[in-house]
Amino acid sequence: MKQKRSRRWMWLLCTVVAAVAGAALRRWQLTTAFEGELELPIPMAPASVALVCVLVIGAALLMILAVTQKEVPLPRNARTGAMIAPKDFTCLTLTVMAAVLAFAAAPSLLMQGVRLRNRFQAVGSGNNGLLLMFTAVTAVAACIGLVLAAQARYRGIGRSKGEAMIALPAINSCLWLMEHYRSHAADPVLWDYVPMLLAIIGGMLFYMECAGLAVGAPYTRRTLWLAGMTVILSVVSLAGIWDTGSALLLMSQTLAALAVLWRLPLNVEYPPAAEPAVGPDRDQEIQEEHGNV
Amino acid sequence: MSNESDNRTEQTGQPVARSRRGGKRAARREATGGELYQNIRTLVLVLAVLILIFTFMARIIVVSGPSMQNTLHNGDAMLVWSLGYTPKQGDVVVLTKESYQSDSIVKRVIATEGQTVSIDYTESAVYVDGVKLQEDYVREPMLVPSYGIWNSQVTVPEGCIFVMGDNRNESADSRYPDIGIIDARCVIGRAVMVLYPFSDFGFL
Repeated sequence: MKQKRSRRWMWLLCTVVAAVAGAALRRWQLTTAFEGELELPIPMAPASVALVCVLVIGAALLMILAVTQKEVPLPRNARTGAMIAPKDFTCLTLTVMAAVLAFAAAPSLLMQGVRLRNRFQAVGSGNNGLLLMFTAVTAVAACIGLVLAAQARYRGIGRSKGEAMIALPAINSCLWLMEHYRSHAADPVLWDYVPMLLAIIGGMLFYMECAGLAVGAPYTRRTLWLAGMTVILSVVSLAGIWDTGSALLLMSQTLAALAVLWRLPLNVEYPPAAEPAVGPDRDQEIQEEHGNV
Repeated sequence: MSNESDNRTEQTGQPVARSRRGGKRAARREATGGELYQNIRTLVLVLAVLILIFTFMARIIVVSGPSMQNTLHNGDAMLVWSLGYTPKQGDVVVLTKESYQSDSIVKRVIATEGQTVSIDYTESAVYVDGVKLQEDYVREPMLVPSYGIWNSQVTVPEGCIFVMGDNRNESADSRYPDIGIIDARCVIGRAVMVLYPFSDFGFL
């Protein structure tokens, strides 16, 4: 049997190399690019310049891969989504592990939120911890969303409620982003928090694009690019020193993105066999409905 | 009459009718899901763009304390521009410096690197490079601070700024030992305008 050739390995290789290089440079930057008691950035420090270059090159490389990605469109009335992975144990494992990590992040975030809340009540100013507590709650929802998506993908149900539930981690990312911004908005050193801010934004947009695959708005190339950037930015962020809850959420979105990088290129090049739509053609149905109204 | 015949046709072919109804329901569900998705996606994109703007370009910061009265009042929400900003003499800036308070502070830049500041408390005047500053924005004549005269004549080192509050007698600024001369990298940006309350709305 002729084996299918796919760009999957190219995507994974470029992403992992850029992520590891970025993480190494971030470590270097943390030890050499800041000075003084306040750890203010040294202007044009080699580590900072190199890190920016690697991130830009990584983004450009992934963009080239996305633009040149071969894409076979699915039949118009197919109910099969682009991100299905029937009997793909690797994809299932990665997505389920992402769910477990999201769930594991919840207690840590909640405790942090409660600590902030107590301090706020004692001092009367500062962060009241509410956003962090909401982030913890939505981390559980993100876990559920990821489990449902993993199940739908493994069973080969593409455009389904289960797969669309991957929007839940995006909602979690929204709250996490607001919380992260709120607690660092007064920090004059952008390097202290921008890598993580970009990682959260990348993850949030990536999850939204994944949900788009499930509701009939598939932008597979964009999804692949965002998945790659999510991995790179998350790994670079993880190389900095962060709290347990944030680290677990970053790892969670990294694994979820890796699952997509593992499966989506293959599905895009060799579309899964289209399930017949239930009943007549969808367009015809919609026209009929409008006619009836 | 025609409806009846249609119904009869459907009744005879029950599975077809059921699948057609199911198909319609599925299509309706999908259309609603798609609409909901587009709305959420728009909100997510707007959030991402706003956060990026308010990180790299400008920020909204609320004034805390009376040190900048009468230019700024406690609770004023101001727009702070940070993209490509380098502090200049006379600008109102927001900065973060570990001091007696953890929040960011708002002050006016009195001198930048290489300039010499001298403060004459008897005259209630500030001299920069020997030139007396015309400070219409100062709230009241300056008194000797409770912590003593610590930094009344100083040359600002490279990459640093000397800042003071407009409310000189209620301001912990570069005269204050715990704050002192400030590294320009601590500056978040320049306060451009007051956004709220609307009674104070306007450019600074």
